[in-house]
Amino acid sequence: MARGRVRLATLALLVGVAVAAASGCGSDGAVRIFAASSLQEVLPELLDRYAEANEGVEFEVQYGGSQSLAAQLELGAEADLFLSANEQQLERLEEEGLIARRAPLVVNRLVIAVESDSSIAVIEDLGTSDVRVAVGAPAVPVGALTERLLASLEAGLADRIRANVITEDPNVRITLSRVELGEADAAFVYSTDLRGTEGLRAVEVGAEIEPNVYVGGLLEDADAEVTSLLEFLAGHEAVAIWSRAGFEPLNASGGAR
Amino acid sequence: MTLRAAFQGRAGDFAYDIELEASEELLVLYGHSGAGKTITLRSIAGLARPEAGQIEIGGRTVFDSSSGVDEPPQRRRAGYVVQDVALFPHLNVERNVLIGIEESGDARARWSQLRDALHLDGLDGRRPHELSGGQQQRVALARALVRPTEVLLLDEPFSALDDALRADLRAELTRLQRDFGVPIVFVTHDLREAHLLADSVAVIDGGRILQLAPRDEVFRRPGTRRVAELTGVRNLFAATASGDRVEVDGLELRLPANGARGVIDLGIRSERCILRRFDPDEPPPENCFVGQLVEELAFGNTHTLRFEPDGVGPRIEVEVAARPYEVLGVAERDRWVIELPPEDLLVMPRK
Amino acid sequence: MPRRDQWWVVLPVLFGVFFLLPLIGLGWFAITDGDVASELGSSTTWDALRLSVLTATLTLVLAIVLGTPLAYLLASSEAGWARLTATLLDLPLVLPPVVSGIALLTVFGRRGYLGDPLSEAGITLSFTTAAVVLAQLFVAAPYYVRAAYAGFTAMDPRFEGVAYTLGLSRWRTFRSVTLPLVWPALAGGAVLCWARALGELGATLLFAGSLPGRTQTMPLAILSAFESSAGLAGAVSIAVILVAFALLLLVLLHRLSTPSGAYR
Repeated sequence: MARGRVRLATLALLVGVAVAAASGCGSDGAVRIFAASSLQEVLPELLDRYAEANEGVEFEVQYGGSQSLAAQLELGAEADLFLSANEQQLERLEEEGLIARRAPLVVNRLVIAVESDSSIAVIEDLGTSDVRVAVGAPAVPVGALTERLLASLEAGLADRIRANVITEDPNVRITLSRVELGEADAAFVYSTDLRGTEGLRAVEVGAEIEPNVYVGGLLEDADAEVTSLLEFLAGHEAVAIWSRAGFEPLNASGGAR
Repeated sequence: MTLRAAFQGRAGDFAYDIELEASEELLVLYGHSGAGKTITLRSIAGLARPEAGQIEIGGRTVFDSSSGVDEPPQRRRAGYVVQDVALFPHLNVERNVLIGIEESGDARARWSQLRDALHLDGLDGRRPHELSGGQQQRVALARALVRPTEVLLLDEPFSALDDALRADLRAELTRLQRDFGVPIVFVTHDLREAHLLADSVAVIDGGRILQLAPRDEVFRRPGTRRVAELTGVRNLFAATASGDRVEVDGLELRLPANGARGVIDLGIRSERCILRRFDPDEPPPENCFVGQLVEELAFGNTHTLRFEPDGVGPRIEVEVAARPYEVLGVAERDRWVIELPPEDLLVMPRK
Repeated sequence: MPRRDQWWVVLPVLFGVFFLLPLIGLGWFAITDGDVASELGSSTTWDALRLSVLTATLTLVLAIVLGTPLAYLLASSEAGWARLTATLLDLPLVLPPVVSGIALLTVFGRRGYLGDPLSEAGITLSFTTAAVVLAQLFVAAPYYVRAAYAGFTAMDPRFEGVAYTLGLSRWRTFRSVTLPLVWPALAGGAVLCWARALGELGATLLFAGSLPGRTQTMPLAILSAFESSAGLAGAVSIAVILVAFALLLLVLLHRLSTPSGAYR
């Protein structure tokens, strides 16, 4: 219970972010970054490292669901760099001609979050009756990924797991909170979401599905400084920091294209 | 049918101790606002609960603290009419009147009798806001009387009406009383209304009944200085009595024999004082003194004159009707002889 | 030519425009960018709409059945606790709905104070349709109770006193005198309560989750659509359906709340 309560404030904040579309207005000089909320833990460290090499550069970061951020950009919010938790959002902005340049950054994997003392050890355990499972909404990237995973499983097991689903959340952090609050026994989330949480552990899904790719997109009319930042984020120097945060480097060599 | 009530209680900081009795008559409960009039009616009706005492309506005990009797308002047979929330605004006249009645021939017959008596024909379907003030009060009266009623409690029901309407309703109330034979307790803070309507008057002040008597007795022989004040006696003096003589500020007056002695309260209504022309060659006759006119208020049909004594005697206020005012030529002179007739002097013992 | 002392009319007109324009913008966006037709054909949307109407209506019924006696009790009592309670009623109105959802979890959740006794009794509340109703009730009922309390307080208690002396029982007095007199206040509160329940999002998401057909109400469907790749356009399309539907029902409710038989 106590552990759950510690998370409540964060949770409240997250839902607030998911619901409200904050207005994006940047001051002069600073690089304006719209970043997926799952980057909240790792991005400050990455930016600090970049700033060490590039004196005088300042950042203004706004975190949010990738979709919310993309929607804001569509509606004319101003930013230089958009760090999306998946490729779809960026592709949409690209089609609208808002993106000048893009670069895949890292990937994260789907895992099953359970409490440390949980008896759940393999994905088959989620098919047991009375297990409560939280997933993301199928329309949301993590939910879509979960759906693909379930579709790859043996049909009977997939149906049993689906019958145990108590919620299809619009936001992966909310999905994770279901386990943190003890309302669900298991939640399908990204491996990175478990970083920094206490009392939770990851159960591997044990199936080969394509991972989720984080992509950085340079907005039209962003300046040269931002290009070098994007290259840094996608480059070798950043790999160690990404890894410590649970993200995995791309198999193919990264780099901007 | 009678009403008997003797009870004590508190409402917040206000303590009351009421003793009332009314037979088949119109008893006016007269007092200033805050005197305890409404709490008295509410206690009789069963809407407020005294701490102790007894209330008897039509020979039935409806409240008795010693034996634990406390009939709810629904069973007290007390009709209660309030001026400003007289009728239910969302119901038409007929539904207002018959709201508490199971549809029965009796009630219908009574309603048609009341409709005639109170001139309410043709109004059945109207909403209260479509009625005049007088009509609203008549409907409220009919509603209070349509069920078997053994006391009618009227809380300032006519205060929004003019004198002519009040006189009409007074006549109707009297007729209703003859037909239905119920005691009526009528609350008012308006002295004129009290005078106009009352058979008896109960003067209430600070939660107590100071005097309860037939109307003329209350107005002619107030029991205490406070009752005299409340019933509009403007001239009140401390005086020393001995047998049939009384002395006020050096002036000696004759009293009708009543055996009062020592310090008393003496009063006279301003309209009972007589004004005479002053003649410097003639000493003032008995019960007269000379006064200097210092202030004058004209009300059209009457004039209120204030005098300072010229020598012995009290300050005094005299009310003169318009005609004698002109005949005497009050406006031309400022020294006058004021006569205080012995039969109009009010003698009140001091506690 | 407007008279010079009527310049103030500009203010209400501006204010009206302030409310109207975003709604028009929403509608326009849905027409140009969205796909209302396909959302209207989607069973998820209909499930969400059906669930929204069902739960908001249940919430309203509960608010009326439980809230009316409460408001009446508070309004007729002069005691200090009654005034304190009336003040506390405002609290859920200022609580962010998300906090309300957490508050409900701390009591009725699996790990909540009543979680164990409830589960022993075989009752699971969180993440069920019942939880949706509870969340809405917690957030929306105060609107009704508040309005009803104001109505009962404003009514002259002497009407009831007179009714008692006319032989009407307490219940009949309440039904035939009190209720008609405070009807406008109750109806206004009911509309507010129902509308608030229909729009409830934060508390529902936390306490009931978001499962199509079971706990996913319209606002949750809109939120999910917003977070999805269908994105803004999808969300707006569903939102327009909700707005249109709510508008229809609000007009109906307003009709009901001012019956032709109302007195002046």
